[in-house]
Amino acid sequence: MESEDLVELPACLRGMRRYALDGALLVFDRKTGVTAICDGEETRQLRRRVPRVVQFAITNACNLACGFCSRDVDEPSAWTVDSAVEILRDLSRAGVLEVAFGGGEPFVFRGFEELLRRLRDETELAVSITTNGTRLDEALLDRIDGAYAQLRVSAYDDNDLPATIRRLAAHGARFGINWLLTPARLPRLEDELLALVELGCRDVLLLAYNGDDRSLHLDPASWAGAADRVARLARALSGRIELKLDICWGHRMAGVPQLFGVEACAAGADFVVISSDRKLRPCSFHDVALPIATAADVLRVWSAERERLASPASRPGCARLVDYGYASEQLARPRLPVVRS
Amino acid sequence: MRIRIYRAFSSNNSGSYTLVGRFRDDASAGEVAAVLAELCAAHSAWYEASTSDSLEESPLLAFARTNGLVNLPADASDHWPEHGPPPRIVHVGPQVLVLVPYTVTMPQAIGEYIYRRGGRVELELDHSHTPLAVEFFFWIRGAAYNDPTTPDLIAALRTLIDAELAALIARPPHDRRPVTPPAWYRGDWGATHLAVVFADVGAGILRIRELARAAGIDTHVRIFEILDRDPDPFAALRAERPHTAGRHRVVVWSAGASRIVVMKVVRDLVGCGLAEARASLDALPNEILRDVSQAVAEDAARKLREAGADAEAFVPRPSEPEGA
Repeated sequence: MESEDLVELPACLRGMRRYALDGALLVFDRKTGVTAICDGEETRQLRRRVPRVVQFAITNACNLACGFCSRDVDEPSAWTVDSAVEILRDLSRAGVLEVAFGGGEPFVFRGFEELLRRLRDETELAVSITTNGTRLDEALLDRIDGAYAQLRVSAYDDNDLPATIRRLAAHGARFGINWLLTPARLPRLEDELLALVELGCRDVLLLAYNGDDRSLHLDPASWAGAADRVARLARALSGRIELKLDICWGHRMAGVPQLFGVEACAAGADFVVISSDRKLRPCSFHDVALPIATAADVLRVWSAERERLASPASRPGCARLVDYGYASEQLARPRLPVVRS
Repeated sequence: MRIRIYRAFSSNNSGSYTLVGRFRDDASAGEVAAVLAELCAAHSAWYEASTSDSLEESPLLAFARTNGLVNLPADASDHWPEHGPPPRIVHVGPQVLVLVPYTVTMPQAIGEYIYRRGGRVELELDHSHTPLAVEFFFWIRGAAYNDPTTPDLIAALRTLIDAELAALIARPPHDRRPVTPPAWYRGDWGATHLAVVFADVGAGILRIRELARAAGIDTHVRIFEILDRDPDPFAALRAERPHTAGRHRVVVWSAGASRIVVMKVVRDLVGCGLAEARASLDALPNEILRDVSQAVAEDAARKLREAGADAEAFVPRPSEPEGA
């Protein structure tokens, strides 16, 4: 029995999974996502033993070809359904609460539906899936019903998002939209979010761009204005929609009321990324990539390489960089248009 | 120990819920509305305060048992709004409206109670994502359909309503979608109708009901969903339609000196907007009413002449080809 299991909790929280934070206890229900953070004298001695969330880029393959995507879509995945189940089952047993699949497009991974069903039956993990939504038809939604906690659909200009949202809403799916806030999209912020609400979306995550394309970064002069508009939207839509901010925003959205205030990026500690080439990274945008094969490897690297995992990514936009890397040479360099062949 | 609780996953998706119950008389509807308002307030307060291990019977469940309802409410958060005020109960004449802007669904027990009290559920919109339109019917209780005083009373009410409509349909500052233009028009039996998309459905209905009541005019409502992204969903309602079946027509030969006054009369007679009325006066002579009764045609011609136009009511000769 671990020390977090000895903390006395109110009856309504006793049936939930426990996870030790540094000096606090987090309890979690994988079906609903209800989370409680408990802190006091009773939890002072607790220490984090494992990452809370594993983001799993199970494949780089994708059925779309977005200009801003930096992944090598032709690189084959080093994972199979069996090997993925094995490592995730062991991580679940070690205390990890959640796996968040991404990619690439996870639904093009061979056997992905079977993987979801096995994780539901063989682990205690909550399963989130980030997808472009193009494969989410009625039949697929029926087949994976009950095998995931939430779907997160990325909003692109060419993936017919309205039709996907209508389908998800009609199906009663638990879903949210990931919306990349770029200079081109900023003028349409209110219109786009209200349109999402009208379609039936009740959860929007505003993402900040990480990368070398200067045209996709919000200009520092526009940060305060953008934060003010997001704050007004959050206030106006309170109770109708949950508006969330990606951790990469850092203090750029400091004017927006946040659940626990502006928190430091917890990449590499609270969450880690397992990539399709069997590497462990602090986040999807990071250059640090450490080989792993098993759950024991993941925990060993996570424990032994804290310093490297807590370092900033090199790409402009990382909240750990000074001024978010906006002064970097990469960003100052003119960028030629990318042509995919 | 401090405990902070939140939900990490996306919320389930919500829509609006609307139920309209109808009773034989206003008094019955008023009684049921009062009961439902009290129930909704009590259940919402309980819902906010209760915890998942609460053993206390909910007000809604107690209400269902007390009234012998078969559809006992499910113990599920999807069946009651999680945020904001309780469901709004609005009493309009013989109708009772249950309005919830954001919820997954609502318990069947409410509809069952309306039947139990002798009413009927004439509309239930469960989980709507598109805006709701409210259509008002105005009439004067006890007056004949062709009572000559009715049009003036309705016109006076329309003036009062028009003065407040802009505020009632205005979207809040964060909502930059264009407002939906309201539509005044005539129904199949010549009664005056108004269709509106309110910013706040409950508040809008209550205000129009209040204005109508003060003017001694009865009203009831019909609610329907409109297509999202349609800039003018009421365009078809404004289209010209005959007032009453008949053979008479009304022609305007010239508008006279008071063109704007005539334009407003044409708008009222035809049930169109000012732009359409203006267009109909741009191509004179023009038949503004066709196939109406003799009384309607003569009344229309009289009003047009009083406004300064040269207008007349006539019946086409049987041998005259259509459109000649």
